[in-house]
Amino acid sequence: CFQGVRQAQWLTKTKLVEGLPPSVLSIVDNPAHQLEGHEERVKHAISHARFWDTTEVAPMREHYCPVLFEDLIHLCRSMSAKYPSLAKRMLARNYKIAATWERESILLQVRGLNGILINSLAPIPPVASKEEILATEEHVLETFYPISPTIDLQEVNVYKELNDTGKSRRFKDGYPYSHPHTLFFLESANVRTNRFRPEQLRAKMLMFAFGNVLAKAKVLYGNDPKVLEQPVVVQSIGTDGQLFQFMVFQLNTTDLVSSDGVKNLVWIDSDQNLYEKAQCVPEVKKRVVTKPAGIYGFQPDTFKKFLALYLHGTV
Amino acid sequence: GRIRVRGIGGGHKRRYRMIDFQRLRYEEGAPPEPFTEKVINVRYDPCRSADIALVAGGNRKRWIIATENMQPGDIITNSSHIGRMAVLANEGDAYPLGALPVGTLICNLESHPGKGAQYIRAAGTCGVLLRKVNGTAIVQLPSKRQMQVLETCVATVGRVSNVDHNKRVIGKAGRNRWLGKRPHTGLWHRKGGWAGRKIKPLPPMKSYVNLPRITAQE
Repeated sequence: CFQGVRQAQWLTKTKLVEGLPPSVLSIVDNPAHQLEGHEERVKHAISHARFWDTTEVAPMREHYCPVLFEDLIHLCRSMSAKYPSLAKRMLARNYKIAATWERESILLQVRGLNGILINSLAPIPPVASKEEILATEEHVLETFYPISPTIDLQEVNVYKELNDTGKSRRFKDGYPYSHPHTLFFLESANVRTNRFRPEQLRAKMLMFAFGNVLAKAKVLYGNDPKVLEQPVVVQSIGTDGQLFQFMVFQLNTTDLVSSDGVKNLVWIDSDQNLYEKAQCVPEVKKRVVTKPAGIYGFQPDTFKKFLALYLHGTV
Repeated sequence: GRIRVRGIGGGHKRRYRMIDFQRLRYEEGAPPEPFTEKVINVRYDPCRSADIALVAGGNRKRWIIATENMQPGDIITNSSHIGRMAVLANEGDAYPLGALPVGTLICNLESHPGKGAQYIRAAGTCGVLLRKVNGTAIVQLPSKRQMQVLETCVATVGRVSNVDHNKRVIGKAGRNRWLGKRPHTGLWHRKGGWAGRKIKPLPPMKSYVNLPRITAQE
């Protein structure tokens, strides 16, 4: 309700780090990983999504948000000419996730339609070093006395504790692309009240990333709660067509019943604007054009981070 | 249907916020012990003159009438325990009248225990706890009338929020119409016995306690 990310942190026993992890930032800064003329291409993609794709004057958000996403993914995939291992990725849509865990004697579940997910052949290597993981032991999870951390959660009678990576129904065992790599969240409701606010979107990303990672960890390491020697990492990107939130989640432990011990880590880079304003119709004051149609305040860094998260794990 | 009270009608559309007047409402599954809540937000309510506060505790959130100096982030306590010594209450807390010291300013008073606050809810009002007698307490309402209630009735401490409500200037007739007040009649009435300032003795104390007749003599 009031502070979505803080509540999600308590529920998933996670420590928050501002900004992206250094391994991703090094990919951002490395000029060898850039597309040639990528600024032009990204601007084309934004214009396509925001201006050209419809017969009406301005497309609605539920129209331009997925179109923008498709274009950006297409740009990222065109890098696979340089890195052939990028081709070993698979995109899944309408992906259902289910994960269950206990947290201080309260049973919690994450269920839902995830949206879009990219799976890869090989898992992402752990981002934080061993010292950082051990250092999280001293970090104390913040409590919100007198408010209980399960406030605003729906109480449901459940008869089956499901732990499902969403694949066992459709795909057979031995499916090669079995590691979740990146999740994408598109907030495309037209009315602002139906859309999630940025902090709510970040909390939703955290919970779903955690659900995915936990299901994967239970598949790999079994159902007993313990500290993982090989932490599992998953990334997630959420957007509403203009603001981007980037997140990298690393699961260090499945021992979530107690509040002490090693915590999980999450790196969040929030509120990255891809562009400030996309003017569909030129703004005219007293018959003089003050603002011609076009994109204002374009920031190439956001797309570089998008690309870096896409390339992370194979570079 | 006949019009009972003239001058009501029209007015801006208002969304009703469900206010919880029973402060001591325990959550389902919670033990009947004193509990604390945190104030999240204090905002304007179009349906009343006072401001309302969103408080959260345990697993639930509710709206209550805010007291004068309530800020987001305060912690308030609700208790039903009456001890031998009077509690030094902070503003915004809710205690039964038997636990409060004589002379505190209170608001949101109930006439019967558990009924929910029906008295002293308007902006800037406060009642005074005058004295405590056997198992009852006597409170002076803002109209200077005194009322006698059981000491287990719960009231909040402090004055109700939005204290400068009576100092505001309406400014124009239209603002009265937005508030839902229609104009008075324009017929000129000569002053009769009904007009003019009245000076009368206070009406007798209203008692909401069913005492057996014997205690008055003893």
